Amino acid sequence: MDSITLVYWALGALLVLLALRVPVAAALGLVAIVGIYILMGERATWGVLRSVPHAFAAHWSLSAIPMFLFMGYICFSAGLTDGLFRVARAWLTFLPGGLAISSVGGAALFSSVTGSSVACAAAMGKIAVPAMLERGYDPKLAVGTIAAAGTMGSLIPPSTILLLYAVFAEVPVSELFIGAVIPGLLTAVMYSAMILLRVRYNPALAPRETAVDWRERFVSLGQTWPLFLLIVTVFGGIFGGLFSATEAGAIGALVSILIGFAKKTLSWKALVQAALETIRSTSAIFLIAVAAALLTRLFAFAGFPDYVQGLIGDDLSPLTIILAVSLIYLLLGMFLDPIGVMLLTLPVLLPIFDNAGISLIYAGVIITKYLEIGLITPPVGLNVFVIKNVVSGKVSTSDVFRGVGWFLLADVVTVAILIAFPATVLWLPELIRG
Amino acid sequence: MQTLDNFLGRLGRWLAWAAVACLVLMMVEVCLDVAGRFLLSMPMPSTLEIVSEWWMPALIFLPLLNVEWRDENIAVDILHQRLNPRWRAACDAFALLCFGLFLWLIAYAGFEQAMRAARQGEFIVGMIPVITWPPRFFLPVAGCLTGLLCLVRALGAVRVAVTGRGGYLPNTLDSKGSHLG
Amino acid sequence: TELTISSWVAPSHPTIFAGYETYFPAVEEATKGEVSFKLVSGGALLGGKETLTGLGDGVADGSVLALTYNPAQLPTSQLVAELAMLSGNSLAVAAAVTEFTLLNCQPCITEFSAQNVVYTGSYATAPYALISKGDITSLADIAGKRVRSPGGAWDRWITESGATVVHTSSSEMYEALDKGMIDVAMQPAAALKSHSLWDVANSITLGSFGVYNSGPLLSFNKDAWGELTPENRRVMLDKMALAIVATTEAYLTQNAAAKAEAPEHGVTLVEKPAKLEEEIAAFNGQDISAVIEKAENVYGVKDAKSLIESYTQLLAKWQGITSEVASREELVARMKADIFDKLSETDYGL
Ligand code: NA
Ligand code: NA
Repeated sequence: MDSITLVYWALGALLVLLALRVPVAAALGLVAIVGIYILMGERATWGVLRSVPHAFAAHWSLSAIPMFLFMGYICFSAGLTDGLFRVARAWLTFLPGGLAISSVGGAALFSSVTGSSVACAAAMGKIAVPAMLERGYDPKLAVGTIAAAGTMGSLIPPSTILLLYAVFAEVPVSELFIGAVIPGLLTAVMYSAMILLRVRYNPALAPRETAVDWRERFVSLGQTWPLFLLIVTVFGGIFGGLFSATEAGAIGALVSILIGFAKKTLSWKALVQAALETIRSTSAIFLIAVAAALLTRLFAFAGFPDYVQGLIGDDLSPLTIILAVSLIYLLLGMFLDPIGVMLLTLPVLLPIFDNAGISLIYAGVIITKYLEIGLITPPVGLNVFVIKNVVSGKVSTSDVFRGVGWFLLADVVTVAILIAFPATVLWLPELIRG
Repeated sequence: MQTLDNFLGRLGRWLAWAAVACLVLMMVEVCLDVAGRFLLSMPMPSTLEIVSEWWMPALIFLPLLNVEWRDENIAVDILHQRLNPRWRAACDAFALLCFGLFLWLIAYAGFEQAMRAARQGEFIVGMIPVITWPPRFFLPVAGCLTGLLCLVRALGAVRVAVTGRGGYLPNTLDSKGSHLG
Repeated sequence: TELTISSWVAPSHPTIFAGYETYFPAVEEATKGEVSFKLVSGGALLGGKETLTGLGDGVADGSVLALTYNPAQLPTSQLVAELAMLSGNSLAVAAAVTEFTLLNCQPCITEFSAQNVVYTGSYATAPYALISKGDITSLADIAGKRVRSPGGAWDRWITESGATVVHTSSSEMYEALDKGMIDVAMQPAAALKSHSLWDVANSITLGSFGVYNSGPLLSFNKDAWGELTPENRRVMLDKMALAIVATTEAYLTQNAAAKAEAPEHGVTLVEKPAKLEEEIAAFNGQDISAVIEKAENVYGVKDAKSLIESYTQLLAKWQGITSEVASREELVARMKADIFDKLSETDYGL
């Protein structure tokens, strides 16, 4: 059996374990361990097990994730995000499915303060899903909306994934950030359009809201000052050179605590609760990421990068390359974590992009979009798991996956537009460069 | 069995509290670093190294026991809901054993690595030297205890599958949102 | 035998496109295909910090290393990092560190051996420089500034100059300089291009800031090394000098290209300002005692003084040689004769 065949067997075994309701981390980890053992023998397997889990955890740039999660949980506990959600609702409820659409809008805003999709989904899930369920929205639509909308977290800057890509490709991170803005907003527009159309044709999915008058709309704006203060601090600090995007999470968390206490909406007990939820989510999510990192090692041992090179072949037309890359990322994104996929593929793909004259900024944004899609594709979708974690009990994991299906369709359209019109990515960075 | 389960529950809460302390320390340290750099030209020494080598492993590994005790580890339920309770228990027993095995494997390997690092007195030099071997024990300790909890619950699940009686999931799971959960 | 080689850097890095892509074909040809290589780059197998133990455990058969990640395991070997500011002659430094570690530093070889790793030589980067928004010609210009430091000897120099040391990851450097989180980035001139720093800086001060010298180019797992035939080990040692020189020269070529293009991007080149050079020389004079103290107190190295003397002598020797030799071939031949020919394939690393 050659090593690539082994990889396919491993993925098959993974599906079986997942179907038997083995925790995702254990399924990924055990499959990886057995695969590495068959391929490389006992010594190398222990070597990987000794070094990978701790080394994956001990990472400065990943520290932004728990910090932004903490900020999200505090914002929720202190009611800072209520105001934001009320604004979105007040201004968007005249649309069919207005609450779901305003959740997408809220997630887009939240994405502009968090660097991580997982953090974005967790924070929005706490606010928006209960609100939608309360108003009689279809549960699958409710959870699907937030799981998908959360993926904007890494696309709309700041973004941990774009930061890591910038290191690897040696491109200025600021241009990547700017380049991802339009694709991020396009994603939001597509999701909203999809919700609008679906509710149009099947009004049972989302009951109509009562009309909101203009006075209430402006009153709602007034209630959002704490969140705007937070956004201004985090963004102002990053752009003013006071702190880096990685440090911004810690500053954001501290500032949200201070605002919460100043507004007297945050209690010590709620703060402690937020901290506990933060570490529990961090632990559950990172354990899966650690296990996915082990599976990445199996792919590396199996010579997967060479396999990828073979799949793309010598045809260096940019369009063919982008299409081949799409397939590879959709496949890998089903099983691996975004960072693992990047480590595995970038060494092979970057030179190919370079040779074909594909802008590395453009490639970075497209790849990030694919990695984001991977967060919501079955069977391993971190954002789906997060939503399930946050709303536990009310829906099953497979319901969330089903709810996400329609949003994947919207993503197909988004990706088609990004491929057909590269200017959607490249226009803003060129404008800035002058 | 229930006693051991309760004991591990209490231990898990302590570890979770320790992780909360690390979360807060991490936030404070990064903020002080930023403030010190700008206001006093005196950043907190070796912040990057301390955050990555100490606080991150603590945040990720110490809560493992508490998360599993609350049965909050993420799984995909496709077939599961359609099974009758005894088959479901059998399935859960298998899943718990898999999870325990995985944790024990990485905990054992992590323990070997931690012992090696401790013998060598592992450290890293940033602006000041930072000792880095103690946080290597977070994974072995939490992973080993969590594996034990999985084993305990798997035994309970096997009993349910065979006899159709008993329980194995945390009956103490907080529905009221008690913050000690 | 196919050896799996791990590296955590991208393929665009000189160690790979110059070093490995010279070394791998040379060894494959000379061993008539008996030894071949499979490279897994980009950290898909092992990240920087975990590489030393992973290599010893046999996760890979060979890998690049960065000694600064493992001061506890390799205290003596990484001593040279603290002496980085002594010379800006990259080729001489690479040769001197390689000869020092292989032939004059028994504790170094013992340290690698204890990790189940076989050391075979180090490359060096291009000289470091100060990349900033305003010209720097003396210590007075740098006092009070925030400087992104690569660590080690440079930390001490920056602190003694009255500036603030800032450690950021290299991915954050561009943002940090752009937004004013740091005022100066200490990097080789090549970073102007590779990290696009010329978009955000307008001055680069070249001077005697030294080179990064703590990168063993390709170390091997001891068991994998032992399983090779003596003839093949001989070939692998013989070809190493060429790979080290090729890597180091690639760094210098990248650096020269970036320097040549810098003015087009509005960056002023400040060449070795006299005042600053005097100040650095003064620092280097005093610094040896600080290094000895740090080596003994922080790293627990015994007899640091004589090791440092031995290294400085070798540095002087190779500075002489590099000024004499006329071509790459001559330098490679000289390194082979002076260093690698003295290692026995039936004994070294076994
Ligand atoms: Na974001
Ligand atoms: Na997926």
